[in-house]
Amino acid sequence: MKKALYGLKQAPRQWYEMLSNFLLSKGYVRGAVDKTLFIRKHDNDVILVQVYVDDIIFRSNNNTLCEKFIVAMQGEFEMSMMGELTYFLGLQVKQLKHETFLNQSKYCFDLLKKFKMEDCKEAITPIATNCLMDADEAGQPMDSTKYRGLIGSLLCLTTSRLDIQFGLCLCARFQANPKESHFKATKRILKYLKGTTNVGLWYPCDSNITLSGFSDSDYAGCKLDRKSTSGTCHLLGSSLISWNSKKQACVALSTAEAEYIDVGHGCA
Amino acid sequence: MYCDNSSAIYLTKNPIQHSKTQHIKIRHHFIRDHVQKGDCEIKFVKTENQLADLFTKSLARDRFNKLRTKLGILYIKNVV
Repeated sequence: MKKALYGLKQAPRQWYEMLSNFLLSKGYVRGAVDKTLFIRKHDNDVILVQVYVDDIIFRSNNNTLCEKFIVAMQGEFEMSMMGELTYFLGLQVKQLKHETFLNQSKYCFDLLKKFKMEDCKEAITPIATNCLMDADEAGQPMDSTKYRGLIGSLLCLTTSRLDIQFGLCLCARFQANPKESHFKATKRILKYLKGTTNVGLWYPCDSNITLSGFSDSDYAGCKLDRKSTSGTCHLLGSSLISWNSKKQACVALSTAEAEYIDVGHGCA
Repeated sequence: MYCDNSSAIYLTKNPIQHSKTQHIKIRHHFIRDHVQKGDCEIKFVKTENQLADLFTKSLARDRFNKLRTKLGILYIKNVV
């Protein structure tokens, strides 16, 4: 039995099929984009169920629906209720009366400890304004495994820390052949994190649901191939819901072209 | 959608092919269809109020902190 649960490669698929069949038979509808989101509408009430393998979070505007869901799930599966959501997939969640706060300070502390940077000096911004990153052919080469490890660990953090996203993406471009100078720039991100461990995303309770997007590009920002960097973010009311920072796939010949490509990218 | 370059905005509104823009790949003109159908509207925003600046440039302290706060990234102590 244990092998069937943990050992086989079909196990995740089987589990998802079983759970989704159960939920679909109860009248839930699978999300069109996010296949792990199940929605059930009941007159004016709605219940949302988000599944991550065997971790489930759910929310409803009507408490009786939540209770019904708990009873149904406990009848079918061996399930334990953990109460109010405080920790999910590494994200620490703090729910207050009119606002919700998401952060990853625990992960941040562990990361600093892992790379022995607990006692470093703090930096104010993740990347220096005069930082021109290039291939640095003559620089001292360094251990690429360590460099990649650092980049990978930092990437996990970008789920709640979008302020390091640009700097990190810049550093990540040199993973193939990292030099000491690149490692130094990456360590600056860690120094910045040291000063801002308690920073997180803040979602106020807001009835305004206008969707607005911002798009910007840095014309020929990459010093290696003169490609532009595009950045987009979307806000629902005043809360940030999605963001993106990416080097464009083609070389733009003017600022207008770079911005134009970026607007199209942000709209897609 | 907000953009801080007015010529890019005019490009999205005008479905005419210029000699200056003919090198832009067709897939990048995808936005024009949406603007014409009315799915989205492109507006101008001043560079000072451009929130997406944070994702494209390395910024100085004041501007960085200002944008970070505007995007809703705050210290827990300031909120709670």
